[in-house]
Amino acid sequence: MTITYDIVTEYKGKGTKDAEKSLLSLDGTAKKLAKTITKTFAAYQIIKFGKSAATAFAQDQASAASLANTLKNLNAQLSIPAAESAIAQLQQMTAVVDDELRPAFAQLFRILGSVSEASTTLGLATEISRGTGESLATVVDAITKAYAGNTRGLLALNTGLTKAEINSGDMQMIMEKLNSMFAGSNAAYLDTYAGKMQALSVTTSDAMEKIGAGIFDALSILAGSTDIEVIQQKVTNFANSIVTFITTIAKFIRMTYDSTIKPLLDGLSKVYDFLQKIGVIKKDMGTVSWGNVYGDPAAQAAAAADKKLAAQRLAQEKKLQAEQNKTAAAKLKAERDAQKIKKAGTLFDIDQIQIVAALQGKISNEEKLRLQLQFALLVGNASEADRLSNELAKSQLATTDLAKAIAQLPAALNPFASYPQWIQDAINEINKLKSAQSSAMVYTPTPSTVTPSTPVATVSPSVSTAALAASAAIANPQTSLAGYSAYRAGERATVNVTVQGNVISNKDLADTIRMQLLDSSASGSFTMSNRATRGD
Amino acid sequence: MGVKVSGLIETRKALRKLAPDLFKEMNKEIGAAMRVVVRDARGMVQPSVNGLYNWQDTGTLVKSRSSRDRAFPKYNSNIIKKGLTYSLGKTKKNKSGFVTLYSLLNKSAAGSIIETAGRLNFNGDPRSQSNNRNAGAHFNRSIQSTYGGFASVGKGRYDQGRLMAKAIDRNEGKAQDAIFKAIDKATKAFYARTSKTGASKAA
Repeated sequence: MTITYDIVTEYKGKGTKDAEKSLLSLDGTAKKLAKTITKTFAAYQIIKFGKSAATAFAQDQASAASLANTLKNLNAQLSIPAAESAIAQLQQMTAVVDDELRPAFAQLFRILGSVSEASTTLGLATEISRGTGESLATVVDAITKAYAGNTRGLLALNTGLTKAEINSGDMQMIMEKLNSMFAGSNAAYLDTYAGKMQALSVTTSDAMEKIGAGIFDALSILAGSTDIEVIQQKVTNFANSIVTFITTIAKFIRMTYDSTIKPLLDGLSKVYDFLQKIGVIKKDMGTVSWGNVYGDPAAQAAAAADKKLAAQRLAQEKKLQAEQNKTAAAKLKAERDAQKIKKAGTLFDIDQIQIVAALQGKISNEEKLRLQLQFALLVGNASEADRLSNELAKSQLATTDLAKAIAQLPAALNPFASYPQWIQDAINEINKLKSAQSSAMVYTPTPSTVTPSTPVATVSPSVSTAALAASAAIANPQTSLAGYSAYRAGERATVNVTVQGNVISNKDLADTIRMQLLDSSASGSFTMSNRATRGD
Repeated sequence: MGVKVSGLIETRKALRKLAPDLFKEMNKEIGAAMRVVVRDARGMVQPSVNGLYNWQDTGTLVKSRSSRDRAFPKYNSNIIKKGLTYSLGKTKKNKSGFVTLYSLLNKSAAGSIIETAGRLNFNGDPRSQSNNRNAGAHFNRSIQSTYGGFASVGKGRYDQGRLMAKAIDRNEGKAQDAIFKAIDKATKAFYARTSKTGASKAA
């Protein structure tokens, strides 16, 4: 097997057209045949129709009898006319044939036991059937089962009712909801073409039944029996007799044609051909002339004149055609030129497009005015351009005034103007401190001592007075020390340690001191501690 | 998958009749474009298929076991390569009324098998009543492992293949473009010639 991948293909419709042509020809033949058959079997068709009508009537009668029997069995014999009337009305309204309605009605009547309720429910069932697309029998089956407590069928109809609603078993509520949902489905369907066709079909079927009833009555009289089978048999026999009769007539006509008419026609045809040959009859049947035209000079001249005239007419037509072609070409050219001009014109539209695009962006009012003015000038809108130019002038003036006002504004106060001075002062102070510190570094203070006393030990990290007294070499020692003392005042704290009680070891002492320092720190005195922030 | 055109049959006919040199030139260019695809497809053909060593053609005569006309074809890479080719001839009209003017072909039986095996039922025919139901699946998987999956050149299932279809897919329509260029070129040249000399003297 060769695998082929088509790269370039072309549709060749010729064959298809040929086939179409043959089909059309076949269709024509078939139609002709149909016509012949129709003519031949017209009588048979009439008989067939009569037979169908009688059968339809019989079926109708049978279904009516079945319903009557059902009602009779349910002790509702008196309701039969009302039921038939309701079914007839329903057929009229819904275009559903009574043969379908009767079994459905009987089914509903069996469960509801009332003609009016059954007919109302049947009406609703037809609406649901149209609305859901399910058959009437299915819908009626689902409804009757639901009345009997089996709601599965109703659920399967997908009517739009919820499972909870259906399972509630409240048939009145269910029927009301269904009615509200599907009311008008029949009317809508009958308004469509399909619905109208259906209605027509039902009417035809009804008419057929009526004709069937008439035929039945007539045949009953003819056959002398009311038994439909006997009548049908007799009708068939009658039809066969008619077909035989028609066939015999056709055979007779054919025989007559073959033996008499055909030889006569053949003879006439031969005579006609002979007359044509000798020139008595011209070949063109439209201008039959008796006599020989070939030897007539006047006729020849007339023929030549005709030919000349025809040639002139042809030349004129050709000329006209050429002129028309020329005009068409000129028109086409003009159209193309117009298109070109239009295309060129669109290039200028780019300016407009750009302006519109710019107007979409974030721009100031003045820019917007400028763009709008430009646009108005481009499109040639003079009034709008005038208005916009005025607005632009105003805007520019306003802008200029604003610029002037800004220029005349006094110098704004600088909140940071004094900062350099402050920084300088701070530097000076720091320098002072530095110098004081360097002076203090010369003095070596006596190490602080912790002198436990009873009951309180005083730990004084401060410089003792004696040490201060020994700093005579420092320039202005009093001032420096006093300043330094003041500066570090916050760091100092007096720690009171009670040696008695819980302080019985070095560790206890250290802990107590640490805790005291932390307390002091918490109360505002600065304390150096490695763990000050964690509190442990 | 093919590109559908109209009027090409008549154009070709006119070229063949009135300007055979242009027709030849056009076919030469089209053939060159199609040979690119064919060469690519031939390059994909493997000397053997993994796991199907009994399928390999060893030169011995194989007879059909099911009394058919011919036996199941053996795998022969040379025959497969030979079968991968192209056609510039017009085909008969198919039932839809289309005529193929330029086509790429996979002619050999084994090549066709490589091209299409498993396209319908990759895992074997579910309706198979064979004693070895997995044979089909094994065969397809072996081919797949050697040649890779299908490449698609159209929307339909029958537009898939492993050799020529893959080559067409890889070609990305370059061959088609070249074909149209060649046709266009020949047609323009033909028109230019006829406008100067008249159709009867175009040759």
